Amino acid sequence: MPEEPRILYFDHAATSWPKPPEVISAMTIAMADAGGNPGRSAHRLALAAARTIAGARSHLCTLLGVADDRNLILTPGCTAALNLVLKGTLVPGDRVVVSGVEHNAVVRPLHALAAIGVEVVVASADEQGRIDSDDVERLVAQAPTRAVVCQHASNVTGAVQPVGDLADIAHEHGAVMIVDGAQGAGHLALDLGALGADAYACSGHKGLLGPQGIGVLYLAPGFEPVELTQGGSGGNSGSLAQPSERPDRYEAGTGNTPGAAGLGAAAAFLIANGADIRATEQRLALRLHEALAAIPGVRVLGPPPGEERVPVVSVVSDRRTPDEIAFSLDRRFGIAVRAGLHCSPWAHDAVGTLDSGAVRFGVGYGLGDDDVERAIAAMAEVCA
Amino acid sequence: MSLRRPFTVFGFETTHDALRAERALEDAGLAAVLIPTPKALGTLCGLAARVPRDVADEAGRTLEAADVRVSGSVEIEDQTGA
Repeated sequence: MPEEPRILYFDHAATSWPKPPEVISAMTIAMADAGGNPGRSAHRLALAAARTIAGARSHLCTLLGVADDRNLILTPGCTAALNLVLKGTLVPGDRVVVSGVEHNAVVRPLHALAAIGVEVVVASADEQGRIDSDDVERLVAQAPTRAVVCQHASNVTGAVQPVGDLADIAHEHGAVMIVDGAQGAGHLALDLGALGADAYACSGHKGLLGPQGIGVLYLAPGFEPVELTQGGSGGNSGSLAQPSERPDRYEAGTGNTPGAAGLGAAAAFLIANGADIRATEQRLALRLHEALAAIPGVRVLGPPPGEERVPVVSVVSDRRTPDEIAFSLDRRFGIAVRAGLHCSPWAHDAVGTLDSGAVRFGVGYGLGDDDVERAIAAMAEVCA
Repeated sequence: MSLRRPFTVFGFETTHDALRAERALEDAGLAAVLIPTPKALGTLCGLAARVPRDVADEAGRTLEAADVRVSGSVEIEDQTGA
């Protein structure tokens, strides 16, 4: 039987793979040697678990520019973080302005909130998927607004949104700024203490190179969403009330020690290597963008080369459908990409691909120049 | 013959603060041990930090400088030998 080709993994925007060996090692060690319940007992295995989580939180704060580690909440993922901050902030009668290119991790919670009386106002984007700051300002100025919500970067177009400017606009009008950082964290250098966002949600398993099942929510000092989950915190158990102090307020229940170990190791890895990884990602994504755009009948979505983007290159072909392209790339060339709407129908609507979907190449850690050249050659053959 | 050793035990608002206290005291070179919270601190759950009584004042200053939220402190005579 012919040997299967080595997988060329271009689905980093969904989940990064492979992980740095340090991540896998840290998770194995956590399960073997730190197997107690973190923060619940004073015996050595429980303390080892608690220290594992504390160490991970510390590394994440260093990586993300968070001065006080109490403001960095560990969550089951970015979606859970966004649900926490949206549903913990917005109540019936509130008004929220949201960008018109959001992922369903934002769109669906807001749809649910709209059903109970939250007014959701959608700001426009251009045909490259870029948010119009002027439109956001116009909408925020129209009526009292509780929050502005925007992604840091698009998982469809790669567009980097002006979230710092939007935070200024929000604050000028008394609103809070909530950012979906799923595609920003790891792929962009971050200083959350300076960005201006009141909340910034991250996925652990994408650009941060950690495992699935864990995410991060940064909450600025003074911003106090209501917690969605109450339960054991390891302390003051005689009280019926959930602790009001961070991070315990938002972390009811047993923490994900192996996940935190992996994510903490990934953060340490990125502190040491992140600048080089980001430079490589940008170089590879630019090469891919320019080469795919040169294939007859292929259109690359999003801002043009040279404009700031995260390493996502989504394309459509007038000769093959996205599902055909993705299936061919996988079976014939061992290339993993993602076809469809990428859980982002709003973004596809903005760039004109809501009916067709697209094929997305998510570039990330572990890919090299040769891999990109193989992907370009495969696309030229598939889309001929 | 039992050894009765004098300690001061600090209690904390959250388990996160207990871990923060452990790091701060360790960085200051103080011999702190995390222990189950004694009843004398008013709660029967969570972690507390035990230090020898002769460094209790320095430990208190260290915790304050590290912005650790201390819920209280008690003096105990430890008989566990631990």
